[in-house]
Amino acid sequence: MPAHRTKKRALDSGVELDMTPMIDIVFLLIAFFMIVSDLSNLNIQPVILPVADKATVPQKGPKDRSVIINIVLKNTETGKAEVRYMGQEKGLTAEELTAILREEVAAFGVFEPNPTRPDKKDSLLQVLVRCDEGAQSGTIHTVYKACQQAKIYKVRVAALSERSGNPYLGDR
Amino acid sequence: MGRKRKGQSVDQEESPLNMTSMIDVVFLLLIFFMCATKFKMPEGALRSYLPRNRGGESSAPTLTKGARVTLTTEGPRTTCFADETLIPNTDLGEFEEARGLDPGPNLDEIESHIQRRKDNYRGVAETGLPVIIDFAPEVPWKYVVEVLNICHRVGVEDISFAAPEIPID
Repeated sequence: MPAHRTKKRALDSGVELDMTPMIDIVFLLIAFFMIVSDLSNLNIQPVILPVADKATVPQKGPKDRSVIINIVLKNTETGKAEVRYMGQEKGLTAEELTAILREEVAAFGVFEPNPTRPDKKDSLLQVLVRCDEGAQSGTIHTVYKACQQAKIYKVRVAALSERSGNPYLGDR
Repeated sequence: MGRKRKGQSVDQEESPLNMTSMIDVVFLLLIFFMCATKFKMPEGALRSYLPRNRGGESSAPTLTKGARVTLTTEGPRTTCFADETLIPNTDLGEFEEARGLDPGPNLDEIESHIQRRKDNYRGVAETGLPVIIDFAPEVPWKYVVEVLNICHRVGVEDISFAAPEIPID
């Protein structure tokens, strides 16, 4: 009886659609887009980074911690820029930035002795400065100064190793 | 035994797996991830370390002093001196065009100058030729990174930014 039914149904519809390969491919596509879509990094703000062919993608160790400081251009003509911590929209003063970095250093809690002054310790916390290429370079001194006062010495400057389009025409 | 087999095959026939809703959800997920994905160039970084020995020992004496790249700005023009040599402003790229600036300093000239200084360096510093990048606060960050990149490319290890001394605790 069941075999008879199946046969009847197959005859009614002509061919049975085998959806297994399609579902396989769709799952593969989902997995691909899940991996390449970077939804988690909300600390990166839209800045036009300078190009430096010697810039390397940093390898992050399991115990490394990196704090991102964004320098966002506020006035394209004068190059006035704002220092922002992680994903925050608020511009920081030098004192506020120093206070935040000191808190981060205390929270991270990993130090190494200073080579020339053994009584002092430097933090192993890393800072990545993402500065817009049109920003006044003096702004970065504020960040360097805050880092030094917070005993951070590992500071990296973000740059693109190559650029695919003209960012001033809307490409990134 | 025979009955059981018969019953099983009936169950399989009677309740085929309905995949319609699953495929609906899967397609929704696919469309979401396709829309949410932004392809962009991976960001790199130039590594640098801030000085840790301020107030400590003085740096090693050098027989030949290091190179100094000075960047200053005057309105829309950024002027560059490699030591005492004025670098001609010839590089007009998308940055200068978008910002309405004068052409930037010729990077090839800066590179050949630093390369020449590095090749002729006879100092005793283990890290080779020291280069100091002295930039005015108004200079666009792009030019500072360009000089920094040139130093990395040439193989200069000792790169410093000229800055006012920062008091330490």
